[in-house]
This record gives sequence, structure tokens and C-alpha cells, in this order.
Amino acid sequence: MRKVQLKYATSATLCFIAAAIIVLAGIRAWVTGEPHSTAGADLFQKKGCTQCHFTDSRETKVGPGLKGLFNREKLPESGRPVTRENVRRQLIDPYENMPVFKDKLTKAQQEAIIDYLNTL
Amino acid sequence: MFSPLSRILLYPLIVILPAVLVTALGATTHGFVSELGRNAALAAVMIILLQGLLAARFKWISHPFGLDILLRFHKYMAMAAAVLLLLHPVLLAAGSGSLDLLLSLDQPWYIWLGKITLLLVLVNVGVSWYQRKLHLKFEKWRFVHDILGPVIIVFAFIHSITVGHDLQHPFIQGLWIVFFVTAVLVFVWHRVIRPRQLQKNLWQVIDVQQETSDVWTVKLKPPQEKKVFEYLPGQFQFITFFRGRNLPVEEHHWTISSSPAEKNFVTSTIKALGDFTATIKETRPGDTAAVHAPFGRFTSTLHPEEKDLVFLAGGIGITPLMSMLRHMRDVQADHSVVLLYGNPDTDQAVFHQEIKEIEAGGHPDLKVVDVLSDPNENWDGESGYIDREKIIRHCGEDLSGKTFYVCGPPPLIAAVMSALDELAVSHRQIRVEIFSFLD
Repeated sequence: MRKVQLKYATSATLCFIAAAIIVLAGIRAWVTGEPHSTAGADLFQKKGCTQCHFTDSRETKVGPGLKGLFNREKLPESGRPVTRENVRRQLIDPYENMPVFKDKLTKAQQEAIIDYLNTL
Repeated sequence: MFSPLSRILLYPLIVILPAVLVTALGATTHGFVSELGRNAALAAVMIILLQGLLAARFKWISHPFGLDILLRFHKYMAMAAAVLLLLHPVLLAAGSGSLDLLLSLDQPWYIWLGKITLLLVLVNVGVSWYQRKLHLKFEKWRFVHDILGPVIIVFAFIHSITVGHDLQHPFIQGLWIVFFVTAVLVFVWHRVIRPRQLQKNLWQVIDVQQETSDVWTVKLKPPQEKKVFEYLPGQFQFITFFRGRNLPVEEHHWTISSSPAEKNFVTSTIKALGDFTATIKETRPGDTAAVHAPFGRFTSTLHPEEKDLVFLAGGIGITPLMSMLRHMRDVQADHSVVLLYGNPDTDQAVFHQEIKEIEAGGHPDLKVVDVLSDPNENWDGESGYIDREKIIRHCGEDLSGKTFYVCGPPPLIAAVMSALDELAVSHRQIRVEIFSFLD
């Protein structure tokens, strides 16, 4: 009966898709051995953020060190709560002396950098 | 090109292609849970972009499976996409260790667009899955579906291309755009261009015959100098009637009840079941219709080696079986057919007289058993409903080697399937036609 065959075909399709997205996520997370957001890390380097911020310490370079940023309660300078939105706001409409990155980063690049900061 | 099996395999491979490319081309890597969340969205959006291809009646895609089955697959995959899209923000939030994404109202527009897309997907799946329970009429459901479908495609694309930094690789981004443009073009072709093309070759209504108190047969002649399309008995067609007189213009699908041996016309036999079909009696010779056909695989002609058939029909469910019986008569087929035909009484049994004539003609070797649920006092035949005992009584104890064709209202199908299950009839021996794509 075709409806039974449909159920088998649908189940097989869904199992395949589920298995594939799990395996591919596993490959990206573990097999590549890169625990960081490579795109975000690359951008952080290319856009010159490393000139002002340490990523492996909380010490101030020019701006505050960003290690463990998302484990803190408040952002170092503005004192706003540490949320993705407030980090995004710091990029596009920064508190105090940080350069404005609104036109220098696409929205996807902003998300990539925030993802990267989330891994520090 | 591409066997049916390879076409089945092609679908999940295309669905996971973006996730494979994102992995291969070295985009971002986060924790496992976040990556799972991203993959869920990549797969879900691909499913959504492919939905149009499944539903757009492309014969290369639908032929091996039947359009009715393909539309049910479309429905199941929509549910799968909804589940994956629900998991997407939950997994991302879990991966980031913050519930901001789920709970914070302070989000940029493109995150809100994603949330709105998810909501629209849930609404679209909900109204399709529960159309009957919501008492939503088919034409209203279709209107909602036709609006929400393209809006979801556009919103999902904008959200993904804006926020998805895993899609920023030029090759992946290019492919994403190609899939999006294809999905839009498929929709435009299916809902705008093809209907206009069909309207340029209108068929003509040449007869409308009343069969019972609420069933009419509409006979259609192809456009001038054209023959009727090749079809198999039991297949169905989409018809849009243009009748004027303030009668509704809507596309609906009906089984073809005529025999493919007849090359000059096709007929569909239509029961007044809803708002639109209640107007079918208003159809007049001279009215015109756009016809898109044939579709479906509920036909014995695809299985010529099966000669011992049992037709289990209820009410208007006789139509595809009637097309098969007429075709067997016209080609003098040597099949053996037992027809158990359920109706309230013989007056409401569509084609009753013609079926008796086919039985008397000898081709096929037909045995007709009327099963009446509300017979008059003089009735000495089978009464009640088609059940296990009646199947044994008229088909014998040994049902191996027989093939069952079942068509009728949902309660009849449920009862008959239960009876056949009790009789240990293999699913491979049963073919079922269900009229509604949404059931």
C-alpha cells in the first residue's frame, strides 16, 4: 500500500536528515578541533580589535580585556548587562571611545564576532 | 534519467547540502549544541524552499510516486521543518548559555523576522494539519496557504542571509540565492503562469448528467483539434470551471470517471459535498473549463500481472473504480473482479445500472455485491456496512493472490482497513485512494 510505503520513505528521510545534521554538527564542533568561531576570530583580527583588546586576559590593553566576557554580569565600560544585544550595541553605537563599527561590519559579521566573544 | 529510488535519495541529499558545505568550507565552529541549532535551521529552510517543487505538479517529480502521495510527503515535511525551526532558537540559546535569544524583547529586526517566520510556519502547518477540525473550507485554506507560503520563503531567506554568518562564504551564499530564486520561480509558475496557459486552451462542457439526487457527471470535450490526454483509469484531474452567472471560479480535483478508451471526451462524476460542489448542478453545456491532468497512481493498469481484484467502494468512491471497470469492458479485459459497493440504498448507488450491465457483459468477470446501510423492506441482499464477514463471504477464505482497491469516505476506509488487517491481508495487496490531500 502506497501510504505505508510513504510512511517508510518519510521516516527514512527524516532519520537521514536528523543523523546528517547531528554528525555534521559533531564534525564542526569536535573533529575540526577548533573550539572557536573561526569567522568571528578572523574578523576580530582583521578589523583590528586585537590592537585594543586582549582575548586571553581581563587586563586592559587600550580597551578592556575580553576573556570570559559572557561570564560577567556587566560590560566593562558601560556597565550594561552582558547580553548579545548590548555587545551588538557596543559595536554599532559604542559607549565612550571605541571606534564605531556600524558601517564596517555586516550584520552577519557582527553576529560572528559576538559568537566569538561568547567563546572567550 | 534518475530512477524513482534515486529521486527519493536526491531529496534528503539536497536538504543537507548547505550543512555539508558549511562544514566542508570551514565556516564558524562553536559548541556542538549551537552547531546543531544552525544545522536544524539550514535543513528546515531547505525543506521550505523545496516544498514548492513537491507541490507544483511537475510530472518528472510526481510520476513515480503519484501526486497524492507527493502532497502528503509535502505535508509531513512541512511538519518536520516546523519542528526543526522550533529547535533552532532553543539550541542556539542553549549553546550560548543565555536565554536572551528566547526571552529578550530587545532584539534587532532580523532576529524578530526569524521569530515571525517561525510563527508563520507554525500557523501554516497548523491550519493545514487541522483544516478539518478547524472547519476551514478548502478554498479558504488554499488562499491562506498561497499567501503564507511565499511570505515564509521570503522572510526565511532574508533572515538567513542577514544573520547566518555560516552562509557568508561566496559559494554557499550563491547556492542559497539560487535555491531561493528557484523556489520563487516555481511558485510563480505554479500559481500564476501555468493557470494562465491552461486558460488559453479551455475545454468545453458538452453534457451534465444527473446520476443520483446529489451526484452529477460533467462531460468535457478538449479544445478544438485536440484529443483527450493519455491517462490511466483511476487517475484524477484538476478542473477550473468558468461558468459565469456569478458561479465561483475555483480549481478542484476530481477523479476521471470515463474510460481512457474514449478519446473524444473525459468525464468527472461529482457529489455535492461542499460549497463549491453544491453549485455543480448549475453547470451547463457550453460552459468552459481549464483542465490540468492526469495525476495519481490508483490504477490497476500499472499492475497488469494482477488479475484477481477486489474493489471495495463506498458512495462516490466508486468513481476511480468505475473508470477501471469501463476500461476493462472497453478492452475486453480478462480480470476477475468482486465489487463490494456500499451505499444507503440502491437509489443512491452511482452508476448502478451501468455496473449491472458490465457484470452481465462478462468483461471483466465481475461480481457485484451491493451492501446497503438503509435498504427498503424488500431488500434481500447484503445490508449494513462492508466488513470482515462480507469480505470472506464473497471473496472466500483464501485472500492470498487477490489485490484490494479501496475508495470511499474516511469511515469506510478505516473500517475496511481494519477488516483486511484482521484477515491478515498484506499491505502490499491493498491500494487505497483518499480524495483529500489534507487527510
